[in-house]
Amino acid sequence: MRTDIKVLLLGLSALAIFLIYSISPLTIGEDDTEIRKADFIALATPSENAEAMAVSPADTIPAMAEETVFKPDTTPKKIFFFGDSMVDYLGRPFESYAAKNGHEIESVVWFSSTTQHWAQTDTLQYFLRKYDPSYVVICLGSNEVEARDIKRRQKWVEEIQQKLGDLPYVWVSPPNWTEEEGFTNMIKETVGADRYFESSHLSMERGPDHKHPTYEAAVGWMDTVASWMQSPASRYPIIMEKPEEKVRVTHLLMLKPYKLRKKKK
Amino acid sequence: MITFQQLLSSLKEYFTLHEGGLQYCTLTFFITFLVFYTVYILVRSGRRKVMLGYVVLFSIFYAYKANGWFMLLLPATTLISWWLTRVMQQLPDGKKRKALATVTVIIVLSPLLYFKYTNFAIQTLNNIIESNFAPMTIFLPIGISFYTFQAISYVVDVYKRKFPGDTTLLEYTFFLTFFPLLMAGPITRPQTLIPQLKKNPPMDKELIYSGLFLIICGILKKGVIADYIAQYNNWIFDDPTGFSGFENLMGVFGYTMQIYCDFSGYSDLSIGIAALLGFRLLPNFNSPYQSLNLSEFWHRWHIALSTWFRDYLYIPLGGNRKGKFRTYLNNFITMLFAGWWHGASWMFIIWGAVHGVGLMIHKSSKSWLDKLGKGVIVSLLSWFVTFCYVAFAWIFFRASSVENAVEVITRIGTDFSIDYFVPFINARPVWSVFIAVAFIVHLVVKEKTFYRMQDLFVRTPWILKLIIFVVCVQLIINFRLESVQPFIYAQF
Repeated sequence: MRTDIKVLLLGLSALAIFLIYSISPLTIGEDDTEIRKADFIALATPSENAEAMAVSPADTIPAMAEETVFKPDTTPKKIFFFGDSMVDYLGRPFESYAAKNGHEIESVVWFSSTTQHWAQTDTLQYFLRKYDPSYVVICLGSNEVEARDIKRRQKWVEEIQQKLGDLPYVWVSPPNWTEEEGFTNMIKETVGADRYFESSHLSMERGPDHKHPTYEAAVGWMDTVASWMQSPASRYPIIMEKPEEKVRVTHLLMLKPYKLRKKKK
Repeated sequence: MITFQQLLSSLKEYFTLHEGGLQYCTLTFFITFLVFYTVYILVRSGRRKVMLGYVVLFSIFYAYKANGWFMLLLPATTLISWWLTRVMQQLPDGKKRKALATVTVIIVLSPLLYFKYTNFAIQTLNNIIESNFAPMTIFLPIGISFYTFQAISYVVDVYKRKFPGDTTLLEYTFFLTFFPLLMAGPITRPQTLIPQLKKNPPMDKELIYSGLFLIICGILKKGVIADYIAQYNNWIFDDPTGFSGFENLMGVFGYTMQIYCDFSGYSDLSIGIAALLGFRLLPNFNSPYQSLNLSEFWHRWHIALSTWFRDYLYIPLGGNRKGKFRTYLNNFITMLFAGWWHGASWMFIIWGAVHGVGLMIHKSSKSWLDKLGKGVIVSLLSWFVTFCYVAFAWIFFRASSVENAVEVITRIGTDFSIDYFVPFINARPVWSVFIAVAFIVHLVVKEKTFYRMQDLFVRTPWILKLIIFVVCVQLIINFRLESVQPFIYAQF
């Protein structure tokens, strides 16, 4: 057989292997050792559809809400606030807001954590059982803003959603310091625009690492978050009036970085 | 599940949308190429003109995918330069012939100057005379720097009678539009490609499988290593002050390897694809970081560009024929232009200047250096100094501004501690392994070993070739994930 035909057959065979693996329900390996599938579906999906899907029905809710007389929920909430190191910064002024508005708050900072940590461990279930919250605030994603495996991470965001069940929750986006590959947009699309507070457009003074805000700047960040949380733009608006004074931080739990281990079957 | 309607819409989109072009390491290119290659196999054994016409048509489509209707510049440049060269070639030696050759070069060069350098000229003018001319919105067609240089080399070589001007329009169009060379070269001389178009390409087993081997090398370099290590390097150059001196240094070494893997990987893919079609192109890289001095580096790095500048700028400027001072000056001027060719930015000119100064220093101290001999220690020291100088120059190539470059250098100089070594490796194990393996392979594998590996691959059974190919493509899928880093050199 001619060499060029042999090379063509080699290319076609390789394509067939990737296609069959892509459409088969079988996935070899898991997590970091997973043999990933080529995305033939994206190739065959016109981008107009993708754009249409990107606009979630939730994006239209604030506009409709504006037409009615708006009242935030004034009943006291048991707030559970969790996420990565950014919670250490937002959680402090958050306690002052909680004290002012009659809410209880428990914050859990898991340093260096990602969506995968909260999705694939039972940490979240543990704290949900422990605190039994009526309202959840998430600030997570700073350690993965440059991630490019967006679809993989979307599954972890969905797993976190499943763990939260029917609980009302909002997600505060990381205050981006660099260009990203679409990670925060994915969170917005997954949780819905009215459950998502966009922090990336805020300019704030940063600490020595140029990523985390200073504690003073985080107070301004929290003011903006709180203002949004009681506005009709939020799906679950609750009372969040600005406190006149700071309270001592007593409900902030800090967890050390943790390396994910493989699940044992 | 994908509906038939969606599939039709995707196909329509594929033929009408043209953002960014068909990047090599994508599923879209892979499938497109397989379809193209199937028809190519059928037409290559038939009439030569049909084969050439088919490849030209596909290349025009490829150019359309990259540049939209701006691709019309390509056939326009082809037609004008071919016709004017043909007229010029029939003239006897003398002023008329020289004038027409000069006019042709200027006409060919004009679109490049307009599309690439207009805004640079406006900004420079604004800085010099403190004016306020607004920059224009100008689209830079992908690959324009490469095909313009190919056209110039054809015009000049025919003018100097180094190449016969009997090339037909179809052959010349093939030469200038050949799709593997279109986006980022390598800049190919007429002597290399056009004689191969005079007859149907042979079914040379060795050539075709060597092409496949180069494609695999290109996939590993560009699709796996360069794209992966780019992530960390981007963090460093985006905000050097957020990282320690050690991390900045790793970012500089990382970029040094990234740009090599990116561009030599791209060249491997281009040369490999041409080989699958039966065309033999010249290598563009020869383990440049093994160089023991800067002159040697430029004989090994982007060979197509450095020889182009040598033949069409350095030698016409006088080369080394007009005394030592003029030799150094010619070297420096050539490097300034080589830097400027890479992009309309002062950073590229600075990069060129750094290399120009380095070459001047090396040439002026060559007689003294030669006295040191070629022992192991001297060789190691020479290599170390050359490598560090080249890496240092890359800082200016990659940095967004002089301030950004100075920041990187300052962090390395003032905040360096080896204590970061172990935590760095622990924090970025995959990146560290990639960089270590890439450097070791690059520095250890000599030219002979590479060709031996290539021969071994050619003789490997078909099934083993398939397994190697599938594993390499799977590595791209696993490491590259959702997005593609565009070829660094595509922007030039």
